[in-house]
Amino acid sequence: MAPPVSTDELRAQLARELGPERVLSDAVGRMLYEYDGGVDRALPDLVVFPQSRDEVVAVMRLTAAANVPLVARGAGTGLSGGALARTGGVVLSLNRMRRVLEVDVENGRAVVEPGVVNLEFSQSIAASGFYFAPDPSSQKACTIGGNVAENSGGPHTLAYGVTVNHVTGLEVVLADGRVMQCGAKALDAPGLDLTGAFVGSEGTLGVATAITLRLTRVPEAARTLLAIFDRVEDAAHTVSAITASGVTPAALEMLDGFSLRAVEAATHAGYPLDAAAVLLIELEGLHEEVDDAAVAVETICLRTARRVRVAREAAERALLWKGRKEAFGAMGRISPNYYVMDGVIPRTRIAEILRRIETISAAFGLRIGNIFHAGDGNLHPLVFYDARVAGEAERALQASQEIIRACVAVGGSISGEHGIGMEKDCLMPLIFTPSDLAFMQRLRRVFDPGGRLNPEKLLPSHSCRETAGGNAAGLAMPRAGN
Amino acid sequence: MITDARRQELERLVGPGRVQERRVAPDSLEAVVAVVRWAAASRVRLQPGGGGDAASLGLDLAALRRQRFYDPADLTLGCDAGVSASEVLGWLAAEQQFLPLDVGDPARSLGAILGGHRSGPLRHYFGTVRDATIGIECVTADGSIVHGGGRVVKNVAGYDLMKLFIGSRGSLGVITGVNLKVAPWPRDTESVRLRLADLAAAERVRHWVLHTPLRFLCCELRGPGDPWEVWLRFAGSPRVRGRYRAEIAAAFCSEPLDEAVWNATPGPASGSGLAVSLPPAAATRVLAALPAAAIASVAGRLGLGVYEIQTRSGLSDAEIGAWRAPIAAAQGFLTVRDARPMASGLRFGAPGNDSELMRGIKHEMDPMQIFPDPWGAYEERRT
Repeated sequence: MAPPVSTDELRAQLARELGPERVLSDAVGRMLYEYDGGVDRALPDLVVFPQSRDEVVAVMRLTAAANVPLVARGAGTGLSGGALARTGGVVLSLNRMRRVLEVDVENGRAVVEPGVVNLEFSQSIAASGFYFAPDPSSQKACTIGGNVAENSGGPHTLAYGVTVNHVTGLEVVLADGRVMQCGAKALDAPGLDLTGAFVGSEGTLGVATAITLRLTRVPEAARTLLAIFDRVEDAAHTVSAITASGVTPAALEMLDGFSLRAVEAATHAGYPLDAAAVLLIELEGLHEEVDDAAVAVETICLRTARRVRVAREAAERALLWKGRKEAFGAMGRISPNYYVMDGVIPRTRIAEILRRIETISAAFGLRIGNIFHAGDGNLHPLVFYDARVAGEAERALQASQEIIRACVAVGGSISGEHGIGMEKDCLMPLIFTPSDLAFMQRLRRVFDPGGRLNPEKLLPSHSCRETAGGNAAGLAMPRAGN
Repeated sequence: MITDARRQELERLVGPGRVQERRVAPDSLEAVVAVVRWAAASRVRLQPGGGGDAASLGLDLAALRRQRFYDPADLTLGCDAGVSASEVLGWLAAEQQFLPLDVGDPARSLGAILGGHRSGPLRHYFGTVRDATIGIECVTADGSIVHGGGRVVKNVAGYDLMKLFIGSRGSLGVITGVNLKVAPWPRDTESVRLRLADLAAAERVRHWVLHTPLRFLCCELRGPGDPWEVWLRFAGSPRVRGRYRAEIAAAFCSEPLDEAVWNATPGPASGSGLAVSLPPAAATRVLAALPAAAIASVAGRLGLGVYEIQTRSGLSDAEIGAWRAPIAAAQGFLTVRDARPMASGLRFGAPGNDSELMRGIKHEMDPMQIFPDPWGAYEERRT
């Protein structure tokens, strides 16, 4: 067995491959990579900045030889600790791999490196009439490699799907440095769908170094409606009524009264300050389709809504969306700390779960706001707390976990788009049985036998043993009669 | 295929009358688990959903046909994998909903639809069963019941086992349950036919469909013939459909197409069935380079580059190689669908370097080789 390699020795080896300027080892520099958009912290031993696939291979081989954990990282905007070096080791920062390798409009494809920023890419090809559809709230900063790792969504995934629906092929560097090609520009590559299985694997199966994207045609028309409700329940029931009507909005977002007042104060988006809830609804398609859908949606909303406001011009529409997209940031004005939860429920249970969240808020003595992708039942409760108050952060965490348990109890899931990371690995037994988790662990070992890539993420880690335990089988896949 | 002693063993596990010479038909999830464990212990190969043959025992799931839940307002449905597509469509029709995918033969079970991952005309708008499946339940080679996904329409918890199992042709386990997204049936659909002189004209249609803001439900190339045809289907109010008709008329000569064509099932075929996928813009050029006289029919998703080709007679190994060459050169794939025994490399084409990982997954998940081996994971050992 080879003797262990010291951090200094590994740093020197990496510096020989990449140049010393692309290996970060000083404490202050590394602290910038200690956090992501969530609440967890973990300090890496080294941070490296490859600029090509071959350099990723070199880093992978060196860290494999040293048996050191390796954690891939994009822009660090994730909310589940997925890009943190939980057990130390090397952070592989991919944001210098930001070349668009090919734009092939005629085949509806593009090939990009993982560090390409989501929104910048769509803007760069805007003249073609196409774009990359997944639109996380962080799309101004987040990278497409990060989107692949987390299977990111966003408001418009209601109509267009999440990242996996927009990736047709990958070049992946495996844990031992081998380079794998799966999928292609063409669909239906023979064999197992490794591309589909890789997307959303949170950096545990390999590092994507080239991503083949499916491009989406920019719609001819878009219209944004703001439905204003005096009762939260009415807004919630309207969501399932729209869903069942046959109209699929491009986006269907909900903000409760507390949240929309906070957002309005920060963004001046034009949200009504006295509403109990609003639905922000976007319709896309042909002009004629949008006209028809707007009439249908407005009719459904007005069964219970106080009013439906239709954005008259592009600027008004952009302002309404600015409020939604910048909503989480706006919350910093009303609380020194907040915890963004991510859970999913059947769309028919929204009213019920919002009532439950109110109860949890009262029980824990913490304010909780709700800004979420209502159209696909993807909740984002914001639990506000002050970390300077002893015990409040712990209470916020407990309240958040209580919300997740409530989601699972109505047939939901513990993550719709933020991923599991190190935030929720201990909650995985709520929805997956030991057999499910064992199968996933075996799959992981096929790709990374040593468990070196992003360790202690996605699947329950050793630290979870005390909190594990659930009754998963009947919840994820109800048996007849359940 | 199985001895009387083994038959008695199996009957004790699944009940009397549920074992035939080459087929076992468990009627519960627990019985499926028992059969798989028995097969692993007895070194008997299973053919999930199939009828069995000299080398394997068919594992018939037709008795697993319960609806587990149906939430019309959430547009989600869960059921056993033995349920037939026609039965599911019947449940959904009562709520004016449908499965947003082409099921092919309505007698096929959902398990077979997932395992085979075939597609049809609706793929152009709705995608495939991979896009519609939100949860899956499988029995793996060690007799474990394994779930992926759940019952909500958006879910990133854990590895996406749906993607892994769908299209795996039973190689990793038996699919026993499935949760699906369903959809309201589009009201008022309408179709037109474009008659085209050649495949170059079809390419012009494909280019137009890609760049137009119109969003067709289906965009099918049908042929060969003189002419080739493109069938376009769209939905919406009279005003919306009027816009479609006007835009199509401004670009091409077209004629109305009877909606019944979409429900027609192809007749029996005698040649080889080929699945061909290509980068969409290269597809018509490559199709034109294939031996036209040997092609009985082409049906495909013009906008997606996915085609089914039926040949007039069975292709030899050499002919398959010759057909594959221009397809592979265009970075496409050709898979032979007929059941003629052939090496997996010939059937599926030259493996990419991801086949090494596929073999690794198969070896890990099915070390006793009790499930089918369509990708040739164990082929190198047998030869």
